[in-house]
Amino acid sequence: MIDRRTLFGAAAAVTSAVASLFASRQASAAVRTKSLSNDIEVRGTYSEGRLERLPEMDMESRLEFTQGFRNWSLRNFGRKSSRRINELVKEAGFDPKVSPPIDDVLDVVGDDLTVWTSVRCKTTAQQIMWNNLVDGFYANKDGYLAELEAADNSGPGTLELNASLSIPDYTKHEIHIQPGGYIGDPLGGYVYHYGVNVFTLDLSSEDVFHRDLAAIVPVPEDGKMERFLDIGTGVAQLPMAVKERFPDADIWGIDVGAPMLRYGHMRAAEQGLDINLAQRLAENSGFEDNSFDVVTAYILFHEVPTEDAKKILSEVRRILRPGGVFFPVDFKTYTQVRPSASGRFNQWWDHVYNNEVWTEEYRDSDFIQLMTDAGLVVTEDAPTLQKRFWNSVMATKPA
Amino acid sequence: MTEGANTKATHRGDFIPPQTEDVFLNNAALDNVMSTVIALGSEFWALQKRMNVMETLLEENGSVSKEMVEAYRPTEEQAAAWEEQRDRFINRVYGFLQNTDPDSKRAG
Ligand SMILES: C[S@@+](CC[C@H](N)C(=O)[O-])C[C@H]1O[C@@H](n2cnc3c(N)ncnc32)[C@H](O)[C@@H]1O
Repeated sequence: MIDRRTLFGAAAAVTSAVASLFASRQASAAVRTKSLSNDIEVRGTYSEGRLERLPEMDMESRLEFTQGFRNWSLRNFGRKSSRRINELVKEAGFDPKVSPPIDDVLDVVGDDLTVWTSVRCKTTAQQIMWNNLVDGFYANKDGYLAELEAADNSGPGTLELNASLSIPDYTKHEIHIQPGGYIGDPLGGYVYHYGVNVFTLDLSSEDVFHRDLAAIVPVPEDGKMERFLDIGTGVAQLPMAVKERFPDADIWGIDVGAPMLRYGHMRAAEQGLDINLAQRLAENSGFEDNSFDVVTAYILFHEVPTEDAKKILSEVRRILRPGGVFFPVDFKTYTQVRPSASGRFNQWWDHVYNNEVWTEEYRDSDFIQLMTDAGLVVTEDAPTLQKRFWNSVMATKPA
Repeated sequence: MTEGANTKATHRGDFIPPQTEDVFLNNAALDNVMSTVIALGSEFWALQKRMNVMETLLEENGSVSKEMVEAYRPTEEQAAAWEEQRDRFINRVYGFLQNTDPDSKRAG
């Protein structure tokens, strides 16, 4: 493993010659309206012009392997392992369709080699994914830092960074074992974006998921959608896509992680999207009362402890205008669906070995009740991209 | 980390590493060997892809340079064929890892 504890502190960086390899860039597609100074785009973009190809073919190939191996670990070996878990649980006298407590599942699994070898594969897939990304981007660390620096004050769109923001401990974990997490690696935005694409088995995805999601973001009943906020916005893929759907609206995204926002701002500016990104906390956003028509959160809440989720929900209620809509897309909680034994085991893996520190607490909570307690009116059949998978809830602020 | 929290120059802050070690096979060395073998697959595939691209370029142009390899964009058919080639490679090489039937024993 790369020693990430020293990596991000180290000043020395290799400036690679890759950036100057090509005299001319690949012509890029329609969405790209202008290039920023210092833009590194060695190998051009994928077909729609929204995502830059990785800077070296070998890096891209390694990630293609990682994606293939992850796919095999989940769909091929993973299925075999899931069947084994359910068999073992059944042999022990439990109903595998409704998981017994995780301690019982772990007891009956014991040292089973199929299960643990499969877990080894899945975990290593995740590790080599991050290793390949960090290794590849850090080969030209100075180049990427300069590219970000140049974009910080370029538009369209604005970027507000707050170097003195007091960062809550719960956000400092290396969630998904991403080296440095959301706040600790200056190149974390790059690493996260491509990492999530590999994780979702779509390395060259040009924000397709977020564009599909933007298309189903509900608007208030009165049809007014002039101001929009995405909390825990990460690399700002959702606000970018929402801006394309509502070009005249005032679009905001906030996140605790500066590396995520800087990369997101750079991409938005490159694509000519006028959105505002700010390094602020979802529980203390600094926006005025009643100032947004729609607030979204995509896969934020499973990474937040329940006590802090409550604070975020009160804040959402405060900044939404009466009749405004809140659309938090996340996993189903255990109050919404009881997992099978193998499903439960896989969620436990995610929590312990993929370092989803808060996800068990989230799944144990009654998120619908939390929204209601915060003074929001909840609807349970909200638009969703996959009803079986996502929580499919939304809420409005009462008049 | 030596730098203070959220250093302005780099816009990064302190983070908290995971507390759990990923040893699944009751022997850290065995886990490590497994990871090395898997990681080698990604290195192998990078070389294989390079060969694929070079063969294509040589067939098309009779010559090849590093720049041409880096800039190459596979056609849709190539992308699909290479993905299949990769998946067959993974099945061939890593399929062995699934031979973990608890009843399988040495003869004699
Ligand atoms: C799983 S990521 C999701 C990012 C993004 N929504 C996406 O679609 O990829 C969760 C994000 O929430 C951010 N986050 C976590 N807690 C936060 C908080 N209290 N305030 C603001 N952002 C937060 C993290 O920094 C991270 O970028």
